[in-house]
Amino acid sequence: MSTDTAGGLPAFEPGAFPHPVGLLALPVGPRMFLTCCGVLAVALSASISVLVVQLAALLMVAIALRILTPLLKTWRTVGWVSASIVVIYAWAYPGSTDYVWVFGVQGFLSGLLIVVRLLGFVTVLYLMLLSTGPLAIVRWVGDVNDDLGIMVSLTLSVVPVMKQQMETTIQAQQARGLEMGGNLVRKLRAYLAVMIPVVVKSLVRAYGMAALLHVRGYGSGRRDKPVFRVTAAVVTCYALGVLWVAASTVARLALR
Amino acid sequence: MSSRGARISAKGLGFTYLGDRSPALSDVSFEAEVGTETWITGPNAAGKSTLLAVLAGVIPTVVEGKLQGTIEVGSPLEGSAPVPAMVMQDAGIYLFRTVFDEIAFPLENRGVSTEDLETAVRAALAVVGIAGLEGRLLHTLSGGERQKVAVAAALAVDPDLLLLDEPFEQLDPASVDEVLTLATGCAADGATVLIATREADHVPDGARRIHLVAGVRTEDEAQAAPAYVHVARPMGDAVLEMRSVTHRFGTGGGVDEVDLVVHAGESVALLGPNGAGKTTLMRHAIGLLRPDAGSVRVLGEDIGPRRVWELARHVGLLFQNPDDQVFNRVVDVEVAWSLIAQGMSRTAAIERARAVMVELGIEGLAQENPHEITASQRQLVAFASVLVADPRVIVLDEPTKALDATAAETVAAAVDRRLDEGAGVLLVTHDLRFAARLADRCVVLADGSAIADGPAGELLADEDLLRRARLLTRARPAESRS
Repeated sequence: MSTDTAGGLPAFEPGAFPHPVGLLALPVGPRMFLTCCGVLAVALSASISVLVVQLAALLMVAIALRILTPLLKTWRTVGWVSASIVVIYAWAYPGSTDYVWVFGVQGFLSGLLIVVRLLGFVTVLYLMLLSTGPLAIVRWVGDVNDDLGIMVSLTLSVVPVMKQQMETTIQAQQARGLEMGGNLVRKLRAYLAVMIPVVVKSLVRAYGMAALLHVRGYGSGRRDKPVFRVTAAVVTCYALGVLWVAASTVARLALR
Repeated sequence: MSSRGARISAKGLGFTYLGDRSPALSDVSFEAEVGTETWITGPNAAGKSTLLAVLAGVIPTVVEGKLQGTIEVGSPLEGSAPVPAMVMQDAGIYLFRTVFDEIAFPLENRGVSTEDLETAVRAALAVVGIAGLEGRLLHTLSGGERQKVAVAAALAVDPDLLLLDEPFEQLDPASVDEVLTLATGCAADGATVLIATREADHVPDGARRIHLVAGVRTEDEAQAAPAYVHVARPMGDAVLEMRSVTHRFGTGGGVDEVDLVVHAGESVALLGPNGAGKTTLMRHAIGLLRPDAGSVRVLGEDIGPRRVWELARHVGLLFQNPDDQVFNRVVDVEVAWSLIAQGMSRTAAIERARAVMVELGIEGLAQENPHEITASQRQLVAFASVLVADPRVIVLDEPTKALDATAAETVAAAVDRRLDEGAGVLLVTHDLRFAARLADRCVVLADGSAIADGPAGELLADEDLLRRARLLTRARPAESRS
């Protein structure tokens, strides 16, 4: 089977269907709040042990959501930076007094604190992104503000179209004899030749989309206002967020 | 009295697009009553889309220009405004990433509550026969599926006024019938339906009709379609051979062990319903797709190691959407571009391009911007850009798309001349009349497999086969071949 898909892009919106259940069914608003609280709590935590406890708790949530593996894969993105930070701090931290060969223990611990905090930020944010599809986030933005939601949605829908248009234009130009290989200058010229029609076609498309917005009744003023339901899960979510920040603050003051 | 529908009264309607000298629509008057179906017919650039855009309010709200005359669109109920819905000509233009959002948007705008949204979206998709596509991303759908999504989005709001602008263009004949039945059902339920099409074949006998030519309402004096005379030619060696070609996409679909041979001087029509794998197979001819299994030979040589641009010296490909193929600022340079890319001097290339443009009757467009001409003119420009390089293998994906009967015959005559000169032609089409006009042989695809391969005369007369391949409409379109 070929690995290529239609347009080389996924066909289904991740997380859109089937409908989320369990923890994933929690509305986006409370999740966003929890994410913000998580970022704040990690930023407030000044001890490695407190950060490690939070990290462990976050990983357990990831296990419950069945996204542990993709979450751990996101750590790779900061892997080299993290390793470099620890080594540089251990080697060059001026406040180090105890040494193991050329590496200072205090420098190592300072570097480790930064790395664990960095992993905390990454974990909190990716926990949100991996458990919440972009469509759900866009819908939430639309609930907060109608026009903003439409703007974000339209922008997101245009991105894959432009990518696909670029691929198609490259194929059309190749099918008409354009050599895409050769030296760098030749390649750059070929890609420049592709970019111009892609931009022009996007502008033409924008006019079509404006007409389509009109015929689909945008601005009719009949849209239902979103109903924000206060359920036990939502209240628990907000309470957890507040507790999380409060606990981090207390821990920071206690361990000062 | 029906509480649904819309009453339309237009008097002396005219419209000139901003920057244009001549009007797109001129002095058009008509009336449409509640629960009626009206067909707007005419050749390319007749003003059909302009008239629908005026009725939908796109003109002058979104599109600027000079609007003349009066138009009243009212509800049979005092004090209420009719709910309009429109299917626009280009189904490639859509608003959102997913099918669900595309259908949900007009429903939300008409006040459907969030609780009822999901049921309404699923019902709308089921009505047009694409249930289960709600989670799909729109850019991954086929042209026919996107067209059905657009129809579903229009029908979902239960409109009082339903406007359909060339809604059949990307649909296989069986799907055309389904959409026609839905439109007729809408009118029977009290909605006012207007359908614009250049294909008079779709218009039922006795239907209310507004025929436009160059923006002016006229009587349709079109002659009955000619009985085509198919010319048999001596065939040469195989110029394109596909043997047991298999190509499967990660998301499903593709082709499975398909054999297809085109000889010099032979025209082969590749027929099949939406999503049968026609375009997938066609793209193998020039190396845009490579087979997972099987082989493709062009002029007797395996294309395995050869690049697309090398194959372009022998294979000319007309893409399904001419807009994909058009990227220069001036039409004559656009047509000449293949030759320039292959190393010919600009002057010589443009000279040759002009000769092809004269052949197709588009020489007057030489200095126009290809993005600013009509869709049918762009189709002819894209076709000219294929012919200009004198390819030995000509692959045409829906070459009659956006063309009226006159322009389609211009294309057919040009293909005839290339066949006389010894080129081989692979033709992908839903248009059985056009296939009957040009094809020596037909290959019918369904679900990625070839279900028939034989002389065009025999296959196009096999109603059972055509029905299985969703190629048969209520009105039998294929001409008898002599």
